[in-house]
Amino acid sequence: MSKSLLRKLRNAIIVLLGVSIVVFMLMYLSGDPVALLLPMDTAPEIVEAMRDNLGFNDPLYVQYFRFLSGAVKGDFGLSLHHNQPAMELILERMPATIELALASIFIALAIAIPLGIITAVFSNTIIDYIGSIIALLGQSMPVFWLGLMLLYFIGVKFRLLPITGRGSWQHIILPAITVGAYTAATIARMLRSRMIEIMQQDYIKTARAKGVRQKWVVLKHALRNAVLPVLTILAMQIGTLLGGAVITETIFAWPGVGRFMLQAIQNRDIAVVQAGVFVLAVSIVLINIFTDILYTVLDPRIRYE
Amino acid sequence: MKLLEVKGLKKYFPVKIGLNKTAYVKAIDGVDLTINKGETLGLVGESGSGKSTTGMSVLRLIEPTEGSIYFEGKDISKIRNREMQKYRKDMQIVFQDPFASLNPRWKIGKTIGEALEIHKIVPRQQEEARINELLDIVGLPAESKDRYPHEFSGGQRQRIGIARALAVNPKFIVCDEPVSALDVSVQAQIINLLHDLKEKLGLSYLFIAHDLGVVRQICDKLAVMYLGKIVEVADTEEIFMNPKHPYTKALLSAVPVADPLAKREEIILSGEMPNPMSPPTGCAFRTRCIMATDKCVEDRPELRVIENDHQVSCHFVNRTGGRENVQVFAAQTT
Repeated sequence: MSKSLLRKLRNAIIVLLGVSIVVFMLMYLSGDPVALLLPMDTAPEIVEAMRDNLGFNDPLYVQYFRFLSGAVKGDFGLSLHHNQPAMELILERMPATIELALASIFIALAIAIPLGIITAVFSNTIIDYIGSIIALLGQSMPVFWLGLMLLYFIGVKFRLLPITGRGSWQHIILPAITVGAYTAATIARMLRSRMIEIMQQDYIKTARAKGVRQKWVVLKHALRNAVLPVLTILAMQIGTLLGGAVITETIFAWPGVGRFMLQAIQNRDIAVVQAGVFVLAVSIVLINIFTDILYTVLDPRIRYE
Repeated sequence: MKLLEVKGLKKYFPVKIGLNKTAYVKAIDGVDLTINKGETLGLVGESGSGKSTTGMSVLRLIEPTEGSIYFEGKDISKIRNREMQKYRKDMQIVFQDPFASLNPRWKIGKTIGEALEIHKIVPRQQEEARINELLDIVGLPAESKDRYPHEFSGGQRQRIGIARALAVNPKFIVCDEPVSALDVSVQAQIINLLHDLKEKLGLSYLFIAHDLGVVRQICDKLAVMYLGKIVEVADTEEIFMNPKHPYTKALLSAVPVADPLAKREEIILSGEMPNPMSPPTGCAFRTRCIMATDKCVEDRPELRVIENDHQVSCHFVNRTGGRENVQVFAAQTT
């Protein structure tokens, strides 16, 4: 266990080093970074002096290691646009993003688990058909459309919930539904097919032969075996969500990382983009390690393989 | 004394063909069985003949379409699920695949203990002692209860499956091909274990198998199944020494003999078993039977008593003419 954990940590460090190279290269993606900082008609000597000053004339590896030693400390330099440390700006917006991610996951699970179980237990009945159609709709509906519809009907027409910004718990409901719908539908469909598959297994017959009531056969024997792939989807989804739900954040003016990163890209605020990408990469790597550990807790067979 | 009596048991599985049409797979089509206390009835036949479906329908793990199941004189085929739970204590099952029949996420102790809790077999404080005892009965160390199924070999898992079935002190166990997934050396151990348990605990078995050698060791009586119907029933030795139904004869001729020099007639059946969605008219076996005549196409032979307790469903087997006909049959096949 500790050995495999160490191996995972080692792999994580390698991945992050790779990410750091890509993030470093971002600087050069849109041409000469110094030219971006200065007006178009700046004299070439001044550009050259600036380049020297900022260290862009050093060999690439020297620049990279300078960047890396900063990145390790969380220092990605100042935002050009806000004149504040880039990392600080990202971290300031992280809580809003995490909050939205968790709320949407919560809503997704609250919908998907009952829906998945019910459609599986009543498979090929009218209940299953209705549930499956709902799931299919949830999966195929574009996020922006769902967001706008919720905004219009619930927020504007019936004035049930606030539609912009972040504040009370009511503010989060609409964005969380918007973000969570797709995840809910994906998990529900996956859970349904896994449950149907597992309900055919001999050990389910064993449980019924023991005299276990149908309700407990489903919840105690089948669900726990069906839940592992759900965890995989969930982990991937959390990773994506931490990068910010750009569309949803824009529709509901949610002050999260996604919207901020989009603005940073438009402003060519490279330090902020770098800091944002790096934070996202670190979170995804950490979530993956955490998921792997959770797997071994949920499935005893994995421990020995 | 009769422990279990099955009358006219049928199980049809609906299969959608086309948009509005439903066909039925007649997995079992009118099966009658009787098992006495302390007796082992073997149910043999090729794959797809409906053996396992019969075994599971008897326990209502599959709901039968039609027919009655009398357990200790009480018809359990139509009682409500809740009432059926009580009978689950007396009727258990050991599955074919020991890798699939244990919940992979549960420790062995929990799997065995669950049945104890549901039926309140022992007070909670004695649960652990009872689990240890059960594991001991099937020859596994008590520490096994803290381990997961994947940590055991096939034979060990089958022992766990048996311990689990025994947990509720059943009177009757359906053994659904309990050894066919195991190595030959392990098969013997499990057969011996089942045999000892039967003696010790006075159990009755419905022993489903396709390996006739295994069946001969453990069964008192044999029922031969073909395409959802029973074609012959008799004491095990009687069937082996004096098979009547052409299908039984073919089945027995396929049992390997340990002596390479031994001469024996081999009857090789042509063709496959017909599709149970559209079984042949009349006798189900007629499409592969060398003796088949027009009568077999028209009339479905009933299972009838030929000699004391020997039942056969074939138009050409009767009290006096049975053996002659069988000889004709043998001559044609060799």
